Amino acid sequence: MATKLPTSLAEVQEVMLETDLLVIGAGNSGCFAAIEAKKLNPNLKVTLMEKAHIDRSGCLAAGMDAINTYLKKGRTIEEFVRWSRSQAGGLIREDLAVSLAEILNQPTEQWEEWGLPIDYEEDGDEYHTRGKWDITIKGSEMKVILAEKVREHGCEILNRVVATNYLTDGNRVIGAVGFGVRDGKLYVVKAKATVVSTGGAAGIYKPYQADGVDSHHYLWYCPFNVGTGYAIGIRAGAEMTTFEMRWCATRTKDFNGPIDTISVGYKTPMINAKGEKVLEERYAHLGGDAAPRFIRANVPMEEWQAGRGPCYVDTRGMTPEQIRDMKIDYLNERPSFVLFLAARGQDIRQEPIEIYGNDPYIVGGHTASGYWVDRKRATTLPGLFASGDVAGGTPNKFVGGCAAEGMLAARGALEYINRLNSPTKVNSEQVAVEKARIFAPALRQTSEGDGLIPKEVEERMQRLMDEYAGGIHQFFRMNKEGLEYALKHLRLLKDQTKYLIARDLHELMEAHEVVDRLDVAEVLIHHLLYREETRWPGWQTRTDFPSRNDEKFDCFVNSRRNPETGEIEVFSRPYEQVVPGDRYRP
Amino acid sequence: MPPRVNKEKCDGCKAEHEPLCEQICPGDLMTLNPETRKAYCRSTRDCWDCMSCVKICPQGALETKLPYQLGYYPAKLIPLMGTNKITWTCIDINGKVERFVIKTRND
Amino acid sequence: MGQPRTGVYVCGCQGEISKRIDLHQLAATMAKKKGVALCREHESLCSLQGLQLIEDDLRSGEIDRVVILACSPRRHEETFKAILRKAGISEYLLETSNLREQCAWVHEEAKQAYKKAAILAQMSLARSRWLEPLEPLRFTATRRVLVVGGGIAGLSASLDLAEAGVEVVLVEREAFLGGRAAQLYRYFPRLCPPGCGIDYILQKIRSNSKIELTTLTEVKSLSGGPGNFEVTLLQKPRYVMPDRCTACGNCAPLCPADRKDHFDFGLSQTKAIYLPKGFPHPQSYVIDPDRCLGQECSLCRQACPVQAIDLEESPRERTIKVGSIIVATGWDPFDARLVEQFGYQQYPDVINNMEFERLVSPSGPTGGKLVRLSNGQPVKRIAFIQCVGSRDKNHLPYCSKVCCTVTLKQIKYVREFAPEAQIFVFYMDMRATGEYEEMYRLAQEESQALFIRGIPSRVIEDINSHDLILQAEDTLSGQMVKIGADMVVLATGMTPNQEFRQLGERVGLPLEMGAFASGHLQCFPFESRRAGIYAAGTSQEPMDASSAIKSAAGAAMKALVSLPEEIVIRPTVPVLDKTKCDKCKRCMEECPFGAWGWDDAGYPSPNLLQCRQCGICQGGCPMKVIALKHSTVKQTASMVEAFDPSFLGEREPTILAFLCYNDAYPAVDAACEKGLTYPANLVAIRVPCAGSLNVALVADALAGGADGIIVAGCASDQCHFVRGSDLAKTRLQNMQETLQRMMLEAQRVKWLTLNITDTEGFVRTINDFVAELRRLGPNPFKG
Repeated sequence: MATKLPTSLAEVQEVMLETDLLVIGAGNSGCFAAIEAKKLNPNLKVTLMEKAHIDRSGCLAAGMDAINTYLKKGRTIEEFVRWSRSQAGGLIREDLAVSLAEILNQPTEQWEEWGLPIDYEEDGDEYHTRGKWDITIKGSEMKVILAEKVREHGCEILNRVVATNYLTDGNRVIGAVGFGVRDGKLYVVKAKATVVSTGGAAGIYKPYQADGVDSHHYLWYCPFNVGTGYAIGIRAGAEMTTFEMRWCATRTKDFNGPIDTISVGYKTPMINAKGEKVLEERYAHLGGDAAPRFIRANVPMEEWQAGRGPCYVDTRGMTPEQIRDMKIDYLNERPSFVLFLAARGQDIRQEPIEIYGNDPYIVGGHTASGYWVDRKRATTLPGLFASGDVAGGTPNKFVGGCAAEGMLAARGALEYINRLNSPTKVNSEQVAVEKARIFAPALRQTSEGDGLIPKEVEERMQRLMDEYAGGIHQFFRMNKEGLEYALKHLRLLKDQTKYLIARDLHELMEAHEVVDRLDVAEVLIHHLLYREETRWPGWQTRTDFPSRNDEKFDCFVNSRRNPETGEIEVFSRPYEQVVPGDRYRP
Repeated sequence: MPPRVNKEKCDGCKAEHEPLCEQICPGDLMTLNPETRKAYCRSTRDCWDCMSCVKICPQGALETKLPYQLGYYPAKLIPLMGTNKITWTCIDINGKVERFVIKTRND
Repeated sequence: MGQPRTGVYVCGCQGEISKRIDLHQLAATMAKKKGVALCREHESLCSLQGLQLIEDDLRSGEIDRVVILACSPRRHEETFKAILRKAGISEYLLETSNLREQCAWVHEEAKQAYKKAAILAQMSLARSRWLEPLEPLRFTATRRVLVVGGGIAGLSASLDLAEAGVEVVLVEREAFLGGRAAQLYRYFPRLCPPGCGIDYILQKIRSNSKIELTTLTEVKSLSGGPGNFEVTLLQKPRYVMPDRCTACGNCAPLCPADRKDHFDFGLSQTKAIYLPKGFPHPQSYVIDPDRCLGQECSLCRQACPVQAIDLEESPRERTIKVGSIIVATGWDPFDARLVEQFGYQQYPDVINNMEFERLVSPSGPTGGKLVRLSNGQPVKRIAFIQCVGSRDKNHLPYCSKVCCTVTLKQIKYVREFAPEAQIFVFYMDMRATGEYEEMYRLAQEESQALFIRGIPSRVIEDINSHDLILQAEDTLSGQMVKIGADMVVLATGMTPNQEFRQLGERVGLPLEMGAFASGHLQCFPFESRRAGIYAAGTSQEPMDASSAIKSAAGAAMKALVSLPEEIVIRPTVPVLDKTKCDKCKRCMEECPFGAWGWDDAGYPSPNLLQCRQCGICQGGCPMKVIALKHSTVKQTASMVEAFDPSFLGEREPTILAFLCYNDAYPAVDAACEKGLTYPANLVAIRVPCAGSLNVALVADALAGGADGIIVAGCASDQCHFVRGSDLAKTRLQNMQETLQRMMLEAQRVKWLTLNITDTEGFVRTINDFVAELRRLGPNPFKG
């Protein structure tokens, strides 16, 4: 039962904690960071701040059916980097990819040791593979298993505490502030080092299923990942990279479910309304079946525009055994997709599964969006490390890579802690200001009783982004004028957040979620405006600059928000190739 | 859309504060009605249908229903949690039943 | 720890098993199984020679655990445990499989019996892998008993214990001892004045240094468990220093404040400073703080020749340690105001039977005269109304047992004080058992009391004469009877002392219907639902004074045996895996014995001394993270996993049964004793209590393909662990509802209550169930 909302700041209880390592976000990556830190130094105090409950928080809430990045026997790090680079249109941080690949397999093997069932090939010791880099797992309970291990390693877990901003000393991050969504308390956690691993951002754009009262959250990406990790970094002046590389993918139509399970797992071809195998027949010049992800993502949308939609993955050639196995895969990852097929009464041997694009997400585990980090996963703010979907530069990390990156971030953070010699102090004025900011929507509810509820602000923002910043209803296309219109209104919306009200603690969380999303959206627009080319059609389609411009944009687009003025500075960073070869081919 | 709560079966987890569905929901959506002492979903549009609550409910009182806007009535998908395996029963709108047994943990 | 090395022993039982089951083949099969270090066949494993064989193998180090395929564990499990202990190995590394009572003797068809034996053996082997070496748990104990209540039960329990050499702390809430008995004029069974009996006990108590006696003292809080309770006592101030007070009585006449004396149920008055009636302890005046005018008055202080008055005295709290507790807080008369039609406390001449005791008592409000309270006139016609409150589902659903004989006793009083008076008794049934039958005869024949079988619909008072009019239908004659009376005595029932109910809430003591602390009388006599806390006298159930003394002796005995130098308990306790627990608190809510509390780290933690090891916590744990040692979810799951639902062939239905070890399992064993047979389709797993079975195991059994599942426990009101059966039933009903939604026949999962003699019923059920499952066809999860 909900605790009552505070009606004055004086009512708010404060919880002051001190720890060695603070991990914000106890999802896959955060949990691995915490465990790695404890393994390296069992005496270290490790605290996780989690807005949901660690057992089922983040992307693995419903489970997972595959580890999509696993270096099988004989595969090399260079091969992995080349593949990942080509999938991302030639733009990745190769140094980061190499360091990740070095320990990429460890989390998966660890998980298996902890009890996660992983399928083996019938004739041997090798994991059962379903694509080049993918192995099949039975991961419906994998997050629960991981959470148990976090507890077993003696980490402190703050469930249902929403992070709202970093604690800083100068530009150095010394912990975080948040509030308890169940107890309504202010949490001030001072830490020697901080790892941020809150996941990416969903809900920036309007999903096309939003027409129904009950289907607003039919998103492929976890709808409870709202980009808080990006937002708190943006507000603190951290450097961000490649937000313009949005994650738009081919998903099952309406349900918005994962499609690799079918297309990669069971090698089903993508077809259009005419029954043409579109990748082979129409997009051979872009790589055909082996085309990079953004091409594959854009194909169904291109076909619709050309009047050849709807598109499908052709499941009609699957054997009954394959269909059963595929359903088992879904039950392990997104069980409700099996319910969806049942609710359509669809026999997929007779009727193929329709596909479509999804509302764009900012997800550093799939694309390169996120914090600009070094090989230790240190961000540009001293004391702050990033891993998983919030960390930029390394696309195609997926579950295994995000977990491995958590380990890297923990190692980096521990090195930092060991080097640390100057004491830090919590600025009580900063805490007081943040406290007032956090509870403002609650106090407004008491004092005014009128204002904006978070949902309406969210819906306004989502429609704006959808229509003017390349959403699904615009077939991902955008131009300068539209983006500038979006930016103008985003600024208005940001100003309007002072009218937000919250009627309970859940709504207070929603209020901060929309505030965070607006900050992410603003930076995203700046990145989209800056890259005056079309590097990844679908992910980033500029109708006013329809082709690639290597001369000007074969580089990273980075940004930094000035914490004092709020101005967003956008600039470029050069590309550094580590692994030789054609960057556009695997 | 969120799970429907069978009010006969839900015992509010005999909890003082949080039933298990409330404790686990990644979206902070399930909660306890202080008057009826039964669980309910506070915002149906925000559910992801991850089924965490359905799996954890000790009474088997929750059932996920697909939003009608996306799929037809009355399909069902019901998990039953064993000690280290889960069974799924899926019944489509034509009454066709499919059953699955999946290992969730090794010993 | 390396891989388990199991020794499997197959017993022929002098042909009893081997004549039906091909044990050579079974032994040969088992010998090849993974984890089996050796497999031996023997004609009689329980013989000295057979036991020696096992011991030698254990000592050789070749095996580290034992699986016995022989008779029912109820026959020889202890024998085999002893041999493990003798060999220096934990007796919990033993697994036994029932090849005789539940296989060879009850399945006539040899092939089927063999198949079932093989599956039982396989399941036992699977479980043996998860056995853990366990050793008894030892706790230090405090050899001291707290007795709450200084009535006749509390006094006599204290004396019994002290005479057995145990330290006793006896606390009494009032300023006097003797409790309700002290208020009586005469008491059972000899109808002597209670004074002499209570005085006799008190003399002995006062001279016994083992007993520490304090009055005006209550239990404030309680923690810990058997052997190690920590009790906080609160002693109210008496404002008079007892070591100085000589009870000279100079103070009271000067005191300007009056109080109603509740010893006389408010029928008399004392001053605010008074010497309690009954058996005041210490023999000293006391001040009623509710009535005393305080410092400003201080007349008593001025009058006291020995400066014994201390008006500033404050309450004192102290914490003591005791090993066990006897609750003897006694009873209150049922509040007859609730039965409005009898006019209690509306009409001065309607009184209850305890007030009647005071009225005739020489120390009572009239100094021992039987007169009307309305006008002081002698009583010429008196009527008793029986069962006031008792046997009435709106009030006390039980019979208070003593009220009939109390009335018979009080008829004798009437004859003593008003020999000519007419006596009427309105009753439903007179219950005068044993020697009291003679009192009933005398009441009718000698005392000439008129017994009318019927309860008056109401009592009306004539305003002028104060005469009371009673009208009732005499159900024996069918006539309406209308009489007038000077006095009506209500034979009110017994309710537990209301302070006791509050104490129960304060210390978390779950109470039975009517809020008595009766507990489970056959299996845990005298023990309340919290281990180590025993009830004596009328805290246990309604009874008379002589029964209270017997009850006290029983409770003292139970308290005594729970007071060893060291408490040793079986290691089969619940253990929580904190890394998986999400603190949902269901274990705490469902434990029938209040054994679960929070530990310092904020996790649920069982008080092992309070725990009865039923495993209900394990059964209800949604996260499956409570392991009742030696009956863990993991161990049972391994048996379910090893169960092959096709062991009788693809077409034949198979049933997995989880049987409670108290009643259901013995009932199934008993089939052979009655020469019954039943189909081999049923394979049983024993569980400590049906409530200990986590439904995840039923889900496992279904997922594994068992066609039918039985969970069997004791009948609801016979469950040894109070709630186990009810909880198991509710959990299964929930699952059945889910199965229906899954389009799986709910009747595949069956809840069965069996008592130990229900053998025929069980056999019939199995036959019917097998037939039903044949009709339903195989479990769709099979294969």
